[in-house]
Amino acid sequence: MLRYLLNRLIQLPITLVGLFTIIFIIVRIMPGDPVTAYLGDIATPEAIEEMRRNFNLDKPLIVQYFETFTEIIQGDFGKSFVSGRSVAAEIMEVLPNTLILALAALLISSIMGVLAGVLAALRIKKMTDYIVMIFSTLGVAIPVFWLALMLIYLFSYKLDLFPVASVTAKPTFLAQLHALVLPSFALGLLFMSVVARMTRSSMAEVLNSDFIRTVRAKGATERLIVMKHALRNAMILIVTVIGINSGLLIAGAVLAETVFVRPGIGKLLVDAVLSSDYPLVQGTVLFIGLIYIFVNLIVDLLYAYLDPRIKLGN
Amino acid sequence: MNSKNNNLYIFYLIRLNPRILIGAIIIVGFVLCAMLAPYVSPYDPIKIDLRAKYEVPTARHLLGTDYIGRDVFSRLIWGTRVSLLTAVMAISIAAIIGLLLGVSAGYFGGMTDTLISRFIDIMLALPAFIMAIVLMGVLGRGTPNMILAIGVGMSPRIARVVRGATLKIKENEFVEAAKTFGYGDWRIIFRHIIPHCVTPLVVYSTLLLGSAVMLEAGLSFLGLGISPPTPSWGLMITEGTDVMRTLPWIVSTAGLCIVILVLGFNLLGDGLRDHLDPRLRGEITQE
Repeated sequence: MLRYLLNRLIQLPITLVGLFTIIFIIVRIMPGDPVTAYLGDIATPEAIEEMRRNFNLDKPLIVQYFETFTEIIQGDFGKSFVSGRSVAAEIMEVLPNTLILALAALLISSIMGVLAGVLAALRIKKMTDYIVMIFSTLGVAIPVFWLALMLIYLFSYKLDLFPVASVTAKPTFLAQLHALVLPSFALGLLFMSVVARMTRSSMAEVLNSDFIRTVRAKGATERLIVMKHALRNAMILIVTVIGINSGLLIAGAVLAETVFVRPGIGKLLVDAVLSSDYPLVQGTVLFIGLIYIFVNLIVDLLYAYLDPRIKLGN
Repeated sequence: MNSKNNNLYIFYLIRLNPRILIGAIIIVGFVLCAMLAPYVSPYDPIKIDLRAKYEVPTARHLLGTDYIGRDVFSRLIWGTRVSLLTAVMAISIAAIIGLLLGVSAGYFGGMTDTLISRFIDIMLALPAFIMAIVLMGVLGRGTPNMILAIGVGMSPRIARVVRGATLKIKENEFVEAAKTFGYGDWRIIFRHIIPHCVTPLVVYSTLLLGSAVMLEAGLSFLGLGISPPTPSWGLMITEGTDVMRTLPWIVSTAGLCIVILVLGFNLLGDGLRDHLDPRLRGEITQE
């Protein structure tokens, strides 16, 4: 177990460096000069020169690579073109919003997804199963931003149950929760559907296995079987699924934040891309990648912990 | 299997698995719609008519008009072409890149495998949508750029699946036999390995086609994808958002089209996967 942990931890910085390299390459091959594009009409030769010097753009690419790298290691992601503030500050300011949204969506969807999946597995091939399966098949095909808009139309415009704009000036806790409902549902539906499907298939597989048959033969109640044995085994796969698909939440957050006008990392990235603010793009993408890698690492560790085969060193 | 057996097998397959049938019907429906667009659509989708802005659905304009007077129904029909073409082209690019990377990594092993696998891992360190957004930011807006961005973004996933398939095939004796004959590596790859990769490749690509449609819609919605005036369902949703309160059908119908098309690809892909190789269930899932 410890060796596995160490192995994963060693791989982490390599992946991060690789990610940084790829993003650096992608961002720097931007066609057209970002400085001229940004300065636009006031692009006098002196202004261009000064901006380039300020952002280290006049040095050869290799030098830029290493300089940016060392800066990032020390936590300096550079300064945004548009706002002039440090990229790290911009990210930190909006990060909590995204995290709250993602966590809310994750929590709701995981629980409901697992419940739905378990229910479907218990009543497999019967009506309940078909209903759950049809809903989850649909759920995977619905785009996040469209669902968000439809929810807004139904619940905000027509029924006036929930607010549209998600972050208000003086938010009370209850108001924030209220505003969180629609976006987290929009974000979570896709995730919920994926989780439900995988839960159903892994639960169904476990319920059919010999070991469950033994427990049943020993006379355990159905409830005990489901709660204790089957779920435990299926948990391994479920946790993996949740981890692997957490990327869906990050990607969906971009769209949900745009529609509900919530400040967040997703919206920050899109705005940065639309305004060619490439230090901000670089920093935000790097950060998103970091989060994602980190989540995957946690999932791997959790998986190793839950699966005794790996825990005991195989 | 001679051709007679093949035909019977296909019909049996379709009848046995309703998902393939429904999925195929949906896709064929959309393909026909795309091909017959010039004949079926009542108006020119990009013709601006400022006198007919924001009309409600009437007999003349089945779904009304948008903010510059273009017929919504016609735009939906022509949008089919856009969605299908961009998805197919993007996934074709992804398949070619992914196939080459995958078989190289799987067949040659060693350093090549390590390098390519590392690269795949890093590319997969970002969700596909985020990668596509960044690539679009770099390349700039426009349909060809978007196709490239989605294709490049999807290729690591295909590469991974192909690599897995290659590793399995490599163990077979006929590969060893071919090597003993002195056949060159690439000849073995093209004649023996790749044909066996086709099944998982086709299954996965079908599922990825659904994802590609979603990506295209999402990118266009954000303003990073298809540029106007080309009709794209995602773009129509953006344009319809301003008037969603009073004219909700623009957003709803465009979105519905996306849902049904993606559903079609998903059903087809799931059905194919379940039938061609149920063992793949764990590995190949729609993202």
